[in-house]
Amino acid sequence: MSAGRVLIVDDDPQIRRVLKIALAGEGYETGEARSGEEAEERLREMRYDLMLLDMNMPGMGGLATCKSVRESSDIGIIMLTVRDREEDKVAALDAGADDFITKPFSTPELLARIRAALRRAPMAPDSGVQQCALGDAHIDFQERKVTVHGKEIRLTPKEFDLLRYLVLHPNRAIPHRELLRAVWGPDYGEEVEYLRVFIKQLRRKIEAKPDDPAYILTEPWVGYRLRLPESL
Amino acid sequence: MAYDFLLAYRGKLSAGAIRPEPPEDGERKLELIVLFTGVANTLKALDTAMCMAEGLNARVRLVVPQTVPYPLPLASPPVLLEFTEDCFRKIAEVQSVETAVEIFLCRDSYTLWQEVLLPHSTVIVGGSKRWWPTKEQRLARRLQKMGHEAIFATAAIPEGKFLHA
Repeated sequence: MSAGRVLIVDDDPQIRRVLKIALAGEGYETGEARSGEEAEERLREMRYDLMLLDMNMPGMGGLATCKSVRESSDIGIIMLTVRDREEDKVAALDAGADDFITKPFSTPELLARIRAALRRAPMAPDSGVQQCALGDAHIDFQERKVTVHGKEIRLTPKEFDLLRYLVLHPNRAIPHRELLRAVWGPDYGEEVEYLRVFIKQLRRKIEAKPDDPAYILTEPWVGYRLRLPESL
Repeated sequence: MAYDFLLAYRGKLSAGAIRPEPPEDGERKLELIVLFTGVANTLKALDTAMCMAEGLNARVRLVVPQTVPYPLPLASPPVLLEFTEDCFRKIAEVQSVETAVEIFLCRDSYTLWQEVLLPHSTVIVGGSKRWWPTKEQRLARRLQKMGHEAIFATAAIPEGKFLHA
């Protein structure tokens, strides 16, 4: 089983390669990005537990990337930099980084900091709820499979991500903006109509009575709330 | 009973890159219906529809009403069908996906919506937003009242600029 998913963001291919080998040796799954923009793309495509982020990169720098990612995600972020000045550390931590490590660093120290960051990180979806039952619907997050009355139902990746976010934050009214940013990305926030249509589709696929939903509830003027059955 | 509308054209808008058809799995696919409300408005509505269609694995249908006044026979519209097709060619030039299109000749577009749209359809109307409701905003509201899921897509290009550019 994977120890966690780590996204390595650095413009230097050598550093990415070395980090990838070191992390793979410890059982981490890794993803790579060469820039801040690419990192945001990767985060939209897949859920990561931690991001190793280089501070000095061309284009969108490390600080800007950190701020932007932090707005929509609670992923652990460790900044990597050659600078060792106090103000750089302060800027990185203020931008939302959880930790800061100066190059050159030793692999054992980096791995220890990753472990510490992962301990502090909020429960990641893949390491938390693996399966969930909503009435007759059974959702397997690991296999990305939904079955209703034993029959497999096809959900699109977006529908699945939306459902997963709702299940991870049960019994809480999630505002439209938060849902949109978490599922569609940081560029979204006003497109409430997208949510309306996707939620309607989800209800049609999962709920026994889509017009009178028992689990995916609308919170008028706020957003949506997933009511989990008591037994869960 | 005599119908006040007539399906004049049904086809597919195709452009440079056509999205491959997803495999058929027997499930009824969601249909996103875009109502034609002028070229620029419809482009915005189509953009929104494409964005949603990809996430929902839905298909897009563009419905075009062409109103024919009562003095003329229903089958003889005052605007030539070739002109309408020309508008679609303009749309096709800037779209990168395939969309089913239907042109209806009708006496009144609201009657057409009542007849053509299935109950609880997801309908996308493009238009611009103003403090005083525009024709398109009113249409979206009316469709909502009719029980459809009406989505109002705000046009980036003001209507009219596209055709005269």
